[in-house]
Amino acid sequence: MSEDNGPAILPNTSKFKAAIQLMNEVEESKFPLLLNRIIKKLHSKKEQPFSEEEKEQLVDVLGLNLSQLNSILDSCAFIFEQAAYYTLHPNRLARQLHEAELNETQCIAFQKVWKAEGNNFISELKEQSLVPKVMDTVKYQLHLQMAQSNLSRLKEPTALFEQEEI
Amino acid sequence: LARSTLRMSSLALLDDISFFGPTPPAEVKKAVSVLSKTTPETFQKTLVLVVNYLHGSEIDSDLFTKEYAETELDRSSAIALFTGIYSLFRLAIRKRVKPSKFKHDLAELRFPASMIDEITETFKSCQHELEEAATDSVIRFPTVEDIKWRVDINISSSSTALSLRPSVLMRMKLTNNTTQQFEMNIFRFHQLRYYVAKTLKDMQDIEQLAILKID
Repeated sequence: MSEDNGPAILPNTSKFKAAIQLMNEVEESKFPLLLNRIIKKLHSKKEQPFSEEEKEQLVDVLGLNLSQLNSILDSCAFIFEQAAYYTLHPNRLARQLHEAELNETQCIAFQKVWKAEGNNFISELKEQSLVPKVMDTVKYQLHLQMAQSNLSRLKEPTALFEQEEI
Repeated sequence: LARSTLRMSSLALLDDISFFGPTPPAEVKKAVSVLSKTTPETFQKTLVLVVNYLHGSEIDSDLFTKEYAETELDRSSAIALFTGIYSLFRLAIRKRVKPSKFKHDLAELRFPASMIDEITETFKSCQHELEEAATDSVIRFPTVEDIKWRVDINISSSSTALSLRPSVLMRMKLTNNTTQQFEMNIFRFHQLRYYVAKTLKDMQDIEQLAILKID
């Protein structure tokens, strides 16, 4: 198998490198849980992976300040988004992260989470549409009109459809 | 056996009772008494007026006076005649009676025999149109007037470089002058298609149902 990893997916900026260093310092046991939560909530534009109170708790638990925590969360989200865009295989992702100087344990954590949740995440992204109105569910009723105020002994079938939008 | 005898007796009941009810309405009885002194021309004119009125044309009191000015009837008799005939027709249209039953029940009302045929003919000629007009003006939810559709395949987006996702875009024009334009994914499209097909099939089955044979 060739060693060519394709185009560099992760940027080479100082901000990103600083984030990588911060990630390297996070405890091994906590990192997979962090990643799981992030990837599960990433597809919805309205929900943040962590609420403000939870971020306060994380700041205490991980021994970082708020801006460092935000940097880590944003970089992890960005890594997942890039992986989804290029539909990366978990192994390729791990190798790209390794080249960006992420620790071995963190790379493996990424690989595991991506392997488990990656496909789900990609299909959620595929379903997203820019169209303003998207039809969600349909309900119907079938009526048989028997009479009205100026006419009786009728037999007119009518169908009523209700469509809801997302 | 019990069900068929029950149905036969209810059908007989429908035929027994006249379309205007167990007793003739007061205004119809009054009209019949006026008819005995009405000329055929006046009667014809009344019929024409009633049919026009049922079709929706306005008749105010001046027009009414003008129409009956040259006839032998005074105002109260003319009113009684017009009201009675109009009432009769409206009941008959509403109950959707067959012309034969209409004729049979007219005899019960003691209509002069010469006029019964004329009335029945007039009734037969306007019945279909008036029933259609009634169904046209029924209260309804907005219905679909026009549908335009297209099928798209979303090749890529800013979140995925390769996503081959088909979708259906639809534009529905409704009778309340609104236009709904929306997209659905393939699963929802199949669900909609299935529901529409199912309702069409159920409508067909309903028409075959013997218990609903009321015509």
